[in-house]
Amino acid sequence: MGQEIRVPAITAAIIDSLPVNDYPQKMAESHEQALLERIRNGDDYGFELLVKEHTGKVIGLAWRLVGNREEAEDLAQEAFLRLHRSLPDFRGDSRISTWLYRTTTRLAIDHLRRERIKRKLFFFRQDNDAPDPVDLARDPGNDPGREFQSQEAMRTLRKSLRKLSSRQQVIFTLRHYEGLPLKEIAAHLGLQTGTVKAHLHRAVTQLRLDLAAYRESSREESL
Amino acid sequence: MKNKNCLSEQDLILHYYGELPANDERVYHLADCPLCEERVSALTHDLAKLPELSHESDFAAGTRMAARVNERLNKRRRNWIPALGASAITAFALMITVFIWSPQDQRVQTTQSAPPALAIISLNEDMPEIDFLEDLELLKELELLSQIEGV
Repeated sequence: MGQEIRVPAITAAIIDSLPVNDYPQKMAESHEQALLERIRNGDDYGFELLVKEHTGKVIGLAWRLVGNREEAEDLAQEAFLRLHRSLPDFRGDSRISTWLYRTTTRLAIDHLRRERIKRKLFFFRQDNDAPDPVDLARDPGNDPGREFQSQEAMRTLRKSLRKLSSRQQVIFTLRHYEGLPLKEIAAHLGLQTGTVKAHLHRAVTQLRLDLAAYRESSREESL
Repeated sequence: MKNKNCLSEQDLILHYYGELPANDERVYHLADCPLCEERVSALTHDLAKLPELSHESDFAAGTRMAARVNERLNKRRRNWIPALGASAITAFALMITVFIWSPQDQRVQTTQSAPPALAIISLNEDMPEIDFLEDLELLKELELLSQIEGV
């Protein structure tokens, strides 16, 4: 039989008065404000803490967008340097994480555009089929065959993503992998929601075509 | 067979990502149309097969990034100090040059640029005792007269 837990009246009253849903968010906001205050007062360690807190998410986002760890770390570094430059004017209208998200996305679009132009103009041929060295160093686990297949699929996806325009690539990644609503993506990129929808449609259509061709070719190879 | 109410590819994609409002008539159509249902399941199948892009962040990534950013910021600060010193020295040298050269320049400018009448005026200002010159001429004339007379 379940035993009823008795909560003292005062504790119950305190718990009831807490806004349960937005409490963690408010805690995070006040922590962020305190950190910003420290940085504005010239505390360099405050900024270091800020960087440490956001590094994982920023590098993760940049890596999903550009597909290379080294480039992702460079983009993350640039985003943090820009944040440092903008901190004196940071009014706190948006959270730092949102600001970093937006800046990293824009930096990634610029980076992808530059890379595309470089490849077109200077016949700079990046080895598109080369896997990320970190992926190669990863422990294959119990099933190396499956690991190889997943690496192949990843390579095909990256190759296919590179065929898209930088905007299509970023919009697809933000919607599919980051789960960001289209309205937010539009706000981040300064585009109309209709434009974002059209880009997403083109991206998904292209990816489906490429992946269907890949599946077809791998089926033929296995026969 | 596809009818006019069947969803476009874009709408199917929006539906897959939950971007169509729940009370939208396109959503109602999906519930009744086997063809659209089939298209949705094909899309779901394709997109579900996409590999995960999960990023494994290591424990030291934050510390490493903080060190990188810190280094860049310090480098920027270090670059500022010599640049500030150099511009201060240049400004000081410029000020000295202007201070030394400006009075002479002004004088040259006045004589060169002034019209002839003004130049005479300025000459008269430099030699106010013009009467003395007239007296000198008178003396010269007296001397010439005494030479003629053989005195």
